[in-house]
Amino acid sequence: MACWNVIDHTELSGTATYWEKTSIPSSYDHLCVKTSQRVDASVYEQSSDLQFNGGGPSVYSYTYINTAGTSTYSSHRGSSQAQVLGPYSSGANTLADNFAVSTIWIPNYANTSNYKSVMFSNKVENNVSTNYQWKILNVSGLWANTDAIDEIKILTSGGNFVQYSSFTLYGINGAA
Amino acid sequence: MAIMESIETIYLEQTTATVTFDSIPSTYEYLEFRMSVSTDYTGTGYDAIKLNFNGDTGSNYSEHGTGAYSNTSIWAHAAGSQTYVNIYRASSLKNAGYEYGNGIVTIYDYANSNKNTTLQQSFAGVIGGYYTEAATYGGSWDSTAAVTSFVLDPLNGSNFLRGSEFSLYGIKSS
Repeated sequence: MACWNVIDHTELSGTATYWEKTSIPSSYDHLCVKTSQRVDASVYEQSSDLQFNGGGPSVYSYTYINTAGTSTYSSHRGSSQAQVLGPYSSGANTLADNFAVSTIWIPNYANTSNYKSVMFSNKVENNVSTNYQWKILNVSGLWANTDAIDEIKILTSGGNFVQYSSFTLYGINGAA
Repeated sequence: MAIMESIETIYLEQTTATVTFDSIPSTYEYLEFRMSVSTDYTGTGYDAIKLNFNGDTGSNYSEHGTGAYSNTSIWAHAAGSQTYVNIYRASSLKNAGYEYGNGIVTIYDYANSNKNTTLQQSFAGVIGGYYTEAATYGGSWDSTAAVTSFVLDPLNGSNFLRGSEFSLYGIKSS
């Protein structure tokens, strides 16, 4: 039995405000999403929202550690949210052809006894050392719902995801 | 069909100045690189590893990172227009010689001609059996060329020590 399985790979052929995968099978142990995204907004970095099963009630919470400068650290906790903070994208002000990257893990996504945890590491790279023109973000989130996750959606909070932004969803198997 | 495949593992049986991965196939979406490394650097602190893609030594690399090496020393680092991107962390000879720093590096879009190559890495350094460092980094190569090779050199030392190991994996998207 294969450990890693591709559920979906989308590379945008034009602009879009979100990537979404529905009808995710419940047959894997964990989900992993690798993203590479850029937006057309005139910023250096642009946040996104991460939702499961169509969003809805404010039962999401998250905590993040953020670094965007050599002496600028921050952390934040959000509770009773309508979504988890999603990965940041490179904005139009960053170096051309740079796409922010992230790897998102969702363990035990189909277990109907547990709330669902999500964690990811996200980098917005830029060929500069100037503060606030790059970002390192680590996020831990919780969806306080025992439903199996069968939909994932990542929506940009500003502008559009540009062509070639990509999202790959993997299902990860444990030992049989 | 396996989605994650081993491309090559290099285990050093003797001290070696340079490690090269070449003829990297373009058939994957992502590369993942895992290492356990020590160098002959005898100065203060840890060593790092310089990475150059496709032989490019121009000022086309950037790196940004944050981490901690004690209960009070949280730090961040930013560098643009570098002639290499650093991969962290290698332990150094001065600090025992039997300790190896560890890192996992994911290289995104390495074969995509519409995107620059971007990587992110997590690592742990160790010195003297108790003095450790943990951090996360991003890096980029300002080129849309497909990565077909990369070279690793110690940043401060001259050689990688015997027992250092480098493993390269490919991750498919279909």
